[in-house]
Amino acid sequence: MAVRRVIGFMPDDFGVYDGMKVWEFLDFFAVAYEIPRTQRKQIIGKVLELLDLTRKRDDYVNGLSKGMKQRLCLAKTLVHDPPVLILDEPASGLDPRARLEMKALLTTLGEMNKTILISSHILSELADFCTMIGIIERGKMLAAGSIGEIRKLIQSHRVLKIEIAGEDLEPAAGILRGNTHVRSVERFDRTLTCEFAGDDTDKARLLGTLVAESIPVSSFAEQELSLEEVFMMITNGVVS
Amino acid sequence: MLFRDNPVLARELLVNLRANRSFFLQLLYVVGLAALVYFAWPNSQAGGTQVSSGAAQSLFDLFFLGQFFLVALVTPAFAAGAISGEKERKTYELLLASPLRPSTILVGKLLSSLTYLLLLIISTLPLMILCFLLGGILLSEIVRAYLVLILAAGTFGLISVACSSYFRRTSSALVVSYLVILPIALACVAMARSKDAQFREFISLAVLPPWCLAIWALVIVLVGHRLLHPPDVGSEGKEVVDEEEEMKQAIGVVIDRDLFPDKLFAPAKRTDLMPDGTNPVLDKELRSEIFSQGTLMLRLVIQVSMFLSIPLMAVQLFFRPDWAGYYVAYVILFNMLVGPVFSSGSITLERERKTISLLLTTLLQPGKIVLAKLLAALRVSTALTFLLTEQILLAYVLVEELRGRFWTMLVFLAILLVTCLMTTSVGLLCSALSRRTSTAMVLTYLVLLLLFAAPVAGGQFLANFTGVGENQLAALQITSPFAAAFAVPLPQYTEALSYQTDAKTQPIPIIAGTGLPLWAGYLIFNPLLAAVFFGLTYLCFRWRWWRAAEAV
Repeated sequence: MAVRRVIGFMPDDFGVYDGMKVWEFLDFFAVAYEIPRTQRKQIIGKVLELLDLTRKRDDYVNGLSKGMKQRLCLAKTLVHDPPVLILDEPASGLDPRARLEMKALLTTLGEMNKTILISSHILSELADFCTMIGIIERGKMLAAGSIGEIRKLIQSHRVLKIEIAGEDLEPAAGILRGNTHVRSVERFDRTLTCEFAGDDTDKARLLGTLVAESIPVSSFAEQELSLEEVFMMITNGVVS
Repeated sequence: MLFRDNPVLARELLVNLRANRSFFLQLLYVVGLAALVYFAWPNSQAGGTQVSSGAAQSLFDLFFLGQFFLVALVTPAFAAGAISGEKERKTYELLLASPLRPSTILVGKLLSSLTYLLLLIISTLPLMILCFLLGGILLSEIVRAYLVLILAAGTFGLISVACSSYFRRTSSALVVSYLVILPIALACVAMARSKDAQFREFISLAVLPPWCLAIWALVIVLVGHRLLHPPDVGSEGKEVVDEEEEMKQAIGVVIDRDLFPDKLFAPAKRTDLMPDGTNPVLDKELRSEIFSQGTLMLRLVIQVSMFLSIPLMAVQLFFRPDWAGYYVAYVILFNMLVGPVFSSGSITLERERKTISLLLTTLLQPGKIVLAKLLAALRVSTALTFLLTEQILLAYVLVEELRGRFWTMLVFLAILLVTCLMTTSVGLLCSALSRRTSTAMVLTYLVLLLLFAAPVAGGQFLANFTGVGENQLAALQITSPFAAAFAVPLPQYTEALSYQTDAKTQPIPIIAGTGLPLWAGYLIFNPLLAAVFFGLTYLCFRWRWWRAAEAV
């Protein structure tokens, strides 16, 4: 029971009670969290303001839109001011604007020194405000750490994109294939994409070799992996 | 399209008949009726090889009566969820958006719920033939009995489907269909009991079929219209019901939360925060949830029950005061019907609406939640039931014979109170055990029938066909409020139309081995039983809770 005071939980799939108004709904949960009456009024007002629901105070909860309900549920999660929030896909089913607002809200909550555990499948959105991520597949934590660390973990699987200015790409491809750190080379138009397993020094050396062989390299860049791609690689078992 | 290749019909039949319970129920049904025939089989020693035609006739009557009641009780259970179930599963919109005609949907729904019933009825045909072999019954009589059964099944099924299309929840549809069907069924039984064979023939061949067909036509037009122009579509049945707006359009009884006695079951809405120490679940149930689906069901229930109570009161309280037990039985029947509506959804609804995870992560103890649910449901069902007891009070004030035994009124009221407690706690237990509200509701009715009605019917049966002593019977009937109400000693009605208030009363059944009269046994035993049920509910709730915690 003690742990429940510390945690605010917002389930992925939840419903609301029928025949209740927004303030009654929040009052219900405030009483359920044993908040004294004197504080309740103030807290409900504050939470409604934080979630921009003040105008909806006297509306029936079952008449609210999905995004509004989502916000209301977050509001009820905040009434007892828990230091830890567990949010299960808080942005699912929201329209783009509501999603942006939710993101801003979570950032605000983070600034209020709350620990937020959030699960989501929209990875690109998480990348902006998460400090740590963990990837779980079939109940197993496959990878955990800060986003930078996760990236480092898959560094041995970086992808290099090399654009060549000339018509003939064969010499460049030959050099790449000859390099011990290059695993595979693919050719598309005037770009060579290769999987590279070395560190930064190896990368510099490879560029050096290409230039020394007077290959007209117009661009030599590492493909920035998005969180989605990291996820794909990890869950496909590429990184173990 | 209507009958062949009807997709609604095909789907329902597939799902219904695929379930194991269909076969189990059929087995139970046939075995039950077979037991009835076996025990009621006339003794051949009495009249040699030939039994009297009277015995065969009474067996046939019993058999037919049993079937008729089963049809009246089972039809709504199958048909009341036909359309409201679609609303609850959120498939109503999908169905209406399809190019299916309303008539196709209606026929599919009706036939699918009736097919199984017909299967049940037809599978008893061999038993009926056994009765026929006894002699003394005309084949035409059997055919007529089956005609009446099929007509009844069709009419009751259509009424249930109509209720189903008017209500958003299966539980409301179910209770309103029972409320409409049971008086009709009882009236039919009363007519069938008539000794005049010609009158019976006239009723079953000349009156019933046209009336049934008229009801069918009316209901089909109404429901078809409602399916074609559905007023309740587009919001997945979740739209807000504005109580004040609804009250303006209400016909007949209006519920006003501020007035007595309405505020007993519907306290006023809050205008400010709850005071400290309130049980929030109890407050929420009473003030917000009762009418969240509209007041139509409740208003109907109140009006129909009041309307029926007037002639019953006249006959059973004023004309024949010694029949007061039967009026109490009517009130018990009402509670049996209405009580489960409020209790059997209390836990399943939290699950169906997906609010249970919100509730379980708060600081509320499971005991507190379950207790609040019990109290809320008990309060509503008791207040509604006691609306019908004012007639009893009136009779005890006005009728002299009853006034002489004022204490029996207190016994009657105590019996009603305990009955309310029983219906509520059984409903709550079923709610904790089932996954869906409609299942919980049907389960509650089954358990209540078993506890309340079965001992009385079984007792009658045993007393007629076996040699069980009256006191042993009383011990078997201890769970039945009907038996308890009939066992309350009232002034006897004598031939000379005068009452003997002092000495002579009918013999009171005493429970074997205790020396307690049956009504006292009921009043002592059943609160304990209710407490056991409540404990079980609590354990079930806890158990689910742990399982949910493990799953997360």
